[in-house]
Amino acid sequence: MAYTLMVLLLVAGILGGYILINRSYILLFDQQGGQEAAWQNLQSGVHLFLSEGFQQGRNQAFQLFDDSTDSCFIQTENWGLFGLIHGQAQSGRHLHARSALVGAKVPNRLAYSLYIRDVGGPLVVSGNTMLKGKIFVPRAGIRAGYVGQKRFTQDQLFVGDRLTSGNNLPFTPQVSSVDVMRSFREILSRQRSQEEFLATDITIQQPWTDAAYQINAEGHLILHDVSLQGKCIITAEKITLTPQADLNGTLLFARNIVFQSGFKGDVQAFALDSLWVESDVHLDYPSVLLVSKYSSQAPSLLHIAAGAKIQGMVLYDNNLFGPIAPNRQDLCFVDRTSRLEGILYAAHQLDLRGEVIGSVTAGNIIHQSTARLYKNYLVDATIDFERLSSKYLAPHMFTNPHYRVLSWLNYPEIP
Amino acid sequence: MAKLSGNTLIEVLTSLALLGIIFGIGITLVAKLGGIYAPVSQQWMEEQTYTFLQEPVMGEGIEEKEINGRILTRKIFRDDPTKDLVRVIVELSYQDRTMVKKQKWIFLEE
Repeated sequence: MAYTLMVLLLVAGILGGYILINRSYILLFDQQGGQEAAWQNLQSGVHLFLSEGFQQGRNQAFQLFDDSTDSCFIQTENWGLFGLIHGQAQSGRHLHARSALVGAKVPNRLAYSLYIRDVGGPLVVSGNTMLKGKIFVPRAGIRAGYVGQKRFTQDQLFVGDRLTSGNNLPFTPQVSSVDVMRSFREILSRQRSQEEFLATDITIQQPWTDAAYQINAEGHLILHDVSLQGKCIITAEKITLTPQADLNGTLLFARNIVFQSGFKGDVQAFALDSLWVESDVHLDYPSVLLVSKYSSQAPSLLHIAAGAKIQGMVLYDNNLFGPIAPNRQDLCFVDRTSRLEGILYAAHQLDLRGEVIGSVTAGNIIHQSTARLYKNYLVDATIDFERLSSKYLAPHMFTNPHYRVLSWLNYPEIP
Repeated sequence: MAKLSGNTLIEVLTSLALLGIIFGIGITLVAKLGGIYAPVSQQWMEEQTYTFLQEPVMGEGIEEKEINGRILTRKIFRDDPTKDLVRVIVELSYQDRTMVKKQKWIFLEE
């Protein structure tokens, strides 16, 4: 009798355990499946939203499919030259919220390797210049030439299609972000100051859904041993970033910005007078370097030194403050062994000696040697649009582009 | 009707319970081995539907496949022909009854 009862209890225990494990497994599956479905709905919602374009401040709540169980709510704002989306989606009783950075696909008409404005005379290539893909050159064509003792060393002048460029550049970047212009105007309205501020031992992790964490300095701000992650903005007269600074996603606004040798991170840097990228600086995708000319008197300079690697966009423009006549000292200089993946747009003088995996658009190409200035000369440059990743997205500066999610923002981590 | 003694009743119940466990394990094994007669759980159907939904999309059209006697249908189409956004619907059906339906919006090149 006792033996039978023991067996019965054992059987009851096994059955009970079996039922409990099954039940908890089903609940776990339901929870995980529901979260996954809400995340899928958020991606669907963002795609549906972006198919209508992107506009700052356009907020929208909508049903995703034909039922009322799947819905999405989207809010938008600009983050530098990119769009920022905050989405929240529902699947049944499950919710998922996350932010995303939004970029624009490069339109087909701008999918070229090189466009040089026709200012008279042919494009002269020298050294080991290598042009691959579609190129737009002046009506006078393209030829090989000498720079000092240096001759053209390649077998072909270019590989790909050659088309004729016009007197104007094929596009003018539409920097629609009012925040960028507001920050520039604020800097211009300030009194100039040479005072130095050393920022050190600062760690900020700012959620993307909150207001931006702002650092303002009226003078020269040196960032050393500073970690800024997420939604942070720095504004100063001059900003210097030492290699000990760790910035991800940060916006920088100043008259002058210097990235010291060895700096690594991803930032959008907006300068009025000059932007210096020293050797071996690595700026990860999607970084932006922009120098905007605001006065015809002040020369503007964008300098990228040897060994620097930049993924994103380099923009040297003189149209943000309306059309401004260029200064003879204006220059966008990209040194040997530097490498840019993305778009390089220089409205005025460009001295390109590095490698561009992407496209180059230039008002004037020059080569400044120690002895003389060569106009319309391209020396030791490599340009190839076809090697640019098909997933590359530019800032939204084109007319009626196709928008896509550039990256889902993980900070702070979604539990 | 003959009455069972207490001990006999407990033994019968114990035997029934043991048979139940053996039957349960048997069913689970058959389900694991698969086949048209294998009983499938809601979880299995959800997983199959989700996996098909996530498979790469090459273009518009209808695709169909059969797993364990269940039919999985994937429809890919544009609601608006001017956009490159497509709707993907996957349905798992059994004997003409839709058991699970999942859908999403994606851009065609992704």
